[in-house]
Formats: sequence, structure tokens, C-alpha cells
Amino acid sequence: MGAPMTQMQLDVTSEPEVLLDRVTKTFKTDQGPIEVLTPLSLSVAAGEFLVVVGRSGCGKSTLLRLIAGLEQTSSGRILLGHEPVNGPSRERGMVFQDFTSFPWLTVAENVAFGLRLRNVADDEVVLAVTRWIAEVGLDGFANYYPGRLSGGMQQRVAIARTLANEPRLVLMDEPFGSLDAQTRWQMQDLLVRLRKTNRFTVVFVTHDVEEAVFLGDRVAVLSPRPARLLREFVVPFGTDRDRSVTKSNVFLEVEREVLMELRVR
Amino acid sequence: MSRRNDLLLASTPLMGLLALWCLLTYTGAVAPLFLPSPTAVIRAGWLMFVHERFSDDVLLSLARVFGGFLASVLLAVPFGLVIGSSARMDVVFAPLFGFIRYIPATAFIPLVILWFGIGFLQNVVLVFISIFFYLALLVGDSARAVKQDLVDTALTLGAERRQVLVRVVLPRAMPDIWNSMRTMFGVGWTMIVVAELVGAETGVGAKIIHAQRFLQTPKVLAGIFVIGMLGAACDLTFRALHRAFFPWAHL
Repeated sequence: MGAPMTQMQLDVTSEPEVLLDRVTKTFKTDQGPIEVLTPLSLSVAAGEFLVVVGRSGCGKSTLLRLIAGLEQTSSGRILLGHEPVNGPSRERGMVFQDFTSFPWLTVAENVAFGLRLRNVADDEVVLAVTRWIAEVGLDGFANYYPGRLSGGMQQRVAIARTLANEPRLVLMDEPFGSLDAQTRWQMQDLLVRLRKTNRFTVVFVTHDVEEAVFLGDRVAVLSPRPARLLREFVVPFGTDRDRSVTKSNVFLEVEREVLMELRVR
Repeated sequence: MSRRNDLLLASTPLMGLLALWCLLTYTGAVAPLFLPSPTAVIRAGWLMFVHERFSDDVLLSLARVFGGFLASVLLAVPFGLVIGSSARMDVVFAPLFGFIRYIPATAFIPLVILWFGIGFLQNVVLVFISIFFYLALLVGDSARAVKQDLVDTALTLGAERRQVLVRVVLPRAMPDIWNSMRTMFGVGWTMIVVAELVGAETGVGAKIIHAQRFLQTPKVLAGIFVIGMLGAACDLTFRALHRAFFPWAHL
């Protein structure tokens, strides 16, 4: 079963950066096998922000973990560029819902973590760390331990740490799901702002439809488990958007349709 | 204020014990041979340090404990990390360690004397046996307690398996491991006295058993107090270093 191709005008010119080709995933448990993904095909263009929405437990986190290489597909293949995904790598950085700042490292050391792993030269590390701490708005907190930071600030650390490592693809698994509404909006605005000045490709998972439409270039709706692709929606705001688009008719229209799609099944 | 209260509370049982001791001895209720008075014990301790080079024995005992302790730590920490982060290694080693762990280290004394004779090496080996297996399993538990999310994060930042162990699992688990080390140092410290009681000519334990043979009860008690005080001092040092080494774990 192919994805509904009609909605995918974005990548007709270029080859997809990420390609999921009839991917399935079945977990073996003591109670028997659990099918999480039925054949699922999906592609993401370079520089695109794809948001995957679905109800809780539908398998969208599993989808991200498969792309990250943290889980193995049961069948089908996942390609990044022309390379098949085969285990985790720094090319596919991930931001998790739970706060994963390394508590024994300062903010600066956290941001430097990926660069230090591959022995990047000191001055280059300092440059990148300074830049990304500023980009995510953590100036003045470089020498703080994460234990002193709020949840929102810890997620800023996680985002800076991932982007400083210059992955080809950024995977975000409900990164703002544990934050209060106010902070969640701030973090969404931060992501939009980062996208204006930096080019990176994102697959972002959430169950918050407003968040999905506000952030995404495209929103893919998954069915309840076992997950399959129900429909994709193109969000036509580009990278130059701000909070005001959420009042526009187009936004409300897409939001309503996504909600319908989620509710009907 | 509350600190002072704590101190008061903590010293109450000690003071009570001391008072009871004074009452039993200074009134002559118990013969000095069985329980000498505090003054006699302090005098005996003083004489041991001044005339019998007891400080040498103390240092020697400390050296033996530290020798066995360091050897245990150096082997148990990497071993425990591997057991704790690899299900396969856990399957291979956990049953063996669980078995050996329940054999009291003292049961190995005859064998260790047979293999290593009497003296420094034999003492160190006994301390090692008493610490290593427990510590390895405790380190394994600490490693297992590290959240998978942290490991996954490191993997998606490009960490290899060994880097995950050294740069994530070890530093995250280190405060816990340090606490286990503190506890196991105490075990080693009790072990050294036993080891010296049966298999050494020198050291605090040897001095105690020597004094007992000559019915020098004050010396026995003085030796016991020195052991207790040194143990407490080591424990306090470990705690202080925990704060110094792992400030992030005290936020």
C-alpha cells in the first residue's frame, strides 16, 4: 500500500532525504506478538519539518526509534539519503520527551558532548557551544548543572546538544510533552525561530494537533495501533511563520481536518 | 540549631554507655580483668602508642585494608559495569557471584593461609575476597539503574558501546558506586581485624589477640576503640569526598 501521493508536492524535485519503505514492526512479548506498525511508507525532503501525529500508544514513538536505529525494523527498509539505517548514529540526533540532559555535566559540557565523542578540536567545540547556547537562549547558564534548571531549560539544552552535533536529521519525540502550556509555546516559538536561520530536517512526533500544524511543513496522521498512514496534510506557511498564523483560516482549517482524521477512526 | 540538636541526640546513647561503664568499673562492681575502667583503657592506649609503636600497627592495618580495597575497586567497577549493562554477561556471572558472595570471607582463611602464608599478601587477599564479589554486584545494580534514555541519547549523538559505558553509565552511576565503596570499605575494615587475629604478627588485630593472651584487657579495649574511631573517620571522609566529587548529585 503506497502513501497517498497527491499531497506530497514538496519533494517532487529533489530526492527524499529520508525514506521509509513498507516498514513494519512487531514486538515479541510473553503474551504473543504485538504488531505496532503495519507496512508504512513515508518520505521526508531535505530541510523539511514533518510532524507525525497519532493517538497515544499508536506507535509513533516506535517509528522515531526505528528511524534513529534504536530499534530494528521487522521488515521493510529505512534510508537516509542512499544509506540504509543500520543502528544509531550521529547523523540522526534525537530529542526525547523525558529530560535527558546528562546531570553530571554542565550545560556547556552537555552541548559539547557529541563533538567531544569524535574529538573535535577544542576551539571549534568552544565556538559551537557558545553559538548554540546563545541560539537556544541559555546565555549565562553555561556553567550550570541541569539539576538547577527548569524542564523547559533542560529541553533547550537537549535541543542545543543535538543541533551542535550537526546531524543530517533531527528526531523529536514529544519533546515538549512534559512541559506546561506556557513553556510549551515558548519552546515551539524557539523551534520556529531556529528554523529561520538554520537549515535542518526534522521528524517531530506529537499528539498535540495545534503544535503539529504550527510547527510542521507537513503533518502525517497515523491510525491507532497497528499504525498505518491515514493521511498527510501540507501546511503552507513556510519557515517564516510566527504565532499569528494560528489565527488564520488556513491554520484552523488544517487543524480541523487533522482532528477529524484522528477522531473518525 | 537543628544541627546542634542532632549532635545532642547522637551523643546521648554514647554518653549513657560511658556512664554505665564508669558506674560498673569505678565502683568495683566488675573485676578489672573483665572490664577495666576508662582511665585504665586510656592509659593503656597511651602506653601502646608511646612505647609499643602501636601507630605502626595502625598504619599497617590501614595499608592492608587499602590494598585489598583498591584491588577490589579496580576490578569490581569495570566488571560490575559490564555485568550491569550486558544481559549476556549478567547471565554468565551473576549466579557465580551470587554463590560466592554468600560464603563468609572468613571461610576462606584456611585456604588463603595455605596459598599465601601469613602476612601482608594473605591479609590483602582476604580483604579483597570480602569486598570484590559484593561490590561487583552492587556496581552492576547501579549501572542497571541508569536510565535507558540517557544511553539512547548518547547513541544518537554518535557514542560507541565503549563510550557509552565510560562517558555515560560510569559517570551517572558513580555517586551510587561511591556509596557502595564506602559501605564495602567498612566491611574490609572489619575483615582486616579478623584476618590479623588469626594470620598476622603485626597490625591492630594481632595486637589485640596478643594482649588477650597476656590478659591485658585494657589494651584489648584500647585496640577496639582505635578500630572503631578509624572506621568512623574513614566513613566521614568518604561522605565528605562524595560532596566534593559529585556536587551535581547534591543539588
